[in-house]
Amino acid sequence: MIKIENLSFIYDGGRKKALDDVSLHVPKGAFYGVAGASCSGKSTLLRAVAGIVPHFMRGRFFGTVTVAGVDTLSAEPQQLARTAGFVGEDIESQLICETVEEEIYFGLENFALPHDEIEVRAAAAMEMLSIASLRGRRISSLSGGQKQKTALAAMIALSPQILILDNPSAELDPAATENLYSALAELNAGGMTIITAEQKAGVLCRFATHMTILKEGRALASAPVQQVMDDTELLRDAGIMLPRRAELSSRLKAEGLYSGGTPLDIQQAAGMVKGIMQ
Amino acid sequence: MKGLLECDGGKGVIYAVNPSLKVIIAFAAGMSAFAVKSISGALFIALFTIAAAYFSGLGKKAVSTALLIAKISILFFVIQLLCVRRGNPILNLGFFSITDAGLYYAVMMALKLIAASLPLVLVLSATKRSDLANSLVYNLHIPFKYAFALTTTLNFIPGLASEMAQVMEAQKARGVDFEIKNPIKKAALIVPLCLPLMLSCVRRTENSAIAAQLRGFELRGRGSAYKKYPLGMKDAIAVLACAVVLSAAFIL
Ligand SMILES: Nc1ncnc2c1ncn2[C@@H]1O[C@H](COP(=O)(O)OP(=O)(O)OP(=O)(O)O)[C@@H](O)[C@H]1O
Ligand SMILES: [Mg+2]
Repeated sequence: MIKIENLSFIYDGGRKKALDDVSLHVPKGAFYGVAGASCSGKSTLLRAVAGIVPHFMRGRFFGTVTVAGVDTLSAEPQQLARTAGFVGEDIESQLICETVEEEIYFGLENFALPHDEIEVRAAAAMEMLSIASLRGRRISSLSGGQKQKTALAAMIALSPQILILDNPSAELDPAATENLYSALAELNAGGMTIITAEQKAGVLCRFATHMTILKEGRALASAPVQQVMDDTELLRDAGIMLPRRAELSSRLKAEGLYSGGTPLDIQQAAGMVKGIMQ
Repeated sequence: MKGLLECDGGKGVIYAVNPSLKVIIAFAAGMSAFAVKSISGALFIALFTIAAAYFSGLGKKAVSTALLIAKISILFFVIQLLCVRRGNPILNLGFFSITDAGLYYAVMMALKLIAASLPLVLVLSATKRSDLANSLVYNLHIPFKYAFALTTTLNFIPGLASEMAQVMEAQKARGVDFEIKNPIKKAALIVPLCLPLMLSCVRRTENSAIAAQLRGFELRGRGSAYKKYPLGMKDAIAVLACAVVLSAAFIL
């Protein structure tokens, strides 16, 4: 679905490579997590997939990015937009209308959807992120988390084939993060390809099918999530905070008490502990 | 400043008129207020605007806005008062003297400023940005790109104001005192804060422009909007009322 080959990028005015020879293949229907410390290039990678880099944010671009068979260099980002929906990390600037309802209608109106469908889709998207009660509220009166959900709902309503989310949980509390990722998992189960960037690996490893680890613009690993999570040394090297269950399993491994894979969720962690106790 | 040009939705005459039409009416009223020859004409327009605002539940806003503009026009008032030499002197202040003609023109100037800006400010306070943009596209066939740019610029003002308030709060928390009376010293405190604020606003606007394009904003056509903005009886009445009031203002 997304094919990135030897991608390097230097922003105009920047000295360092924001991305350094990154290659990545995102299969159709995957839920791809991009993890890395601050400044590791996550946002830049996602911008490249959406065509923002290099069309709107200029710089020196090497390599190729193909999205649903279209080379992003030859296509305008607006053309890509119907296939690949992007929600950036600076949430304030992603919201362009005055009220939540208008925000969600905005894209639907632009793409000239039939009127009855606009309402159905808007309602479904708001329902999915449980913001139906915010419908008439002014954007400026919302909390950070509510803004984040609004921006996401506006994109989900467009039901793109690929959903690209940069730091979607940045403004959310743990419970809301959980709900958001459950909603994303539901969309993913419905066939949507999803790619999200997060600084922390905790939530990604539970929901993603694949993961890429970035460090200083380089992809240290790109593989199915279990494989990436098992290499705790690499995760530490990339400056990624490990979830506690991964920390625990790696210590137990070091002590020679456990030899399985890193538990991705609490159930697996419980299974690991049970196994050791027996 | 807070909420100056923001519309929170409401009911009443101003809300009911077609968005494009009411902006045109407000412009016409504003222009007329500048063009009228007499104090009573300008006063008539101002009072009529306040009445229309009152029947839209915006009475308080109208009065406070009028007072705000009055404050701004004090400077013009003083200059007019002191510089007009014609007419009979009523007060001598050494080099300057105040004449009856000077007083007349100064009052007229202040009134005209109020009467000219009030209609537009009120109409913008009673019109949602999206409605205005959509109606400009639908009724006046303006490309959405420009309509959207215009309404976004209007949004910029309250946005900047609220951000300014936030920055000033933060500075106050660090012990900067903004409550000083001396306007020059106050400006010296505020102006250096403005530039970085403008820059961050510009950057955000750039990001917003990207976000808007990615959501297909350039594809939007005349029939795309969810709401429709047909012209009706209410609008005909509004035009008629406006024509009558403005003609009366010129005769007065
Ligand atoms: N608009 C820009 N102009 C110039 N340089 C930029 C720009 N955006 C990012 N960079 C640089 O590119 C590199 C990668 O930044 P990027 O924003 O992709 O990191 P990130 O992994 O998303 O970080 P974070 O977790 O903080 O969001 C950094 O060195 C950064 O300074
Ligand atoms: Mg980032």
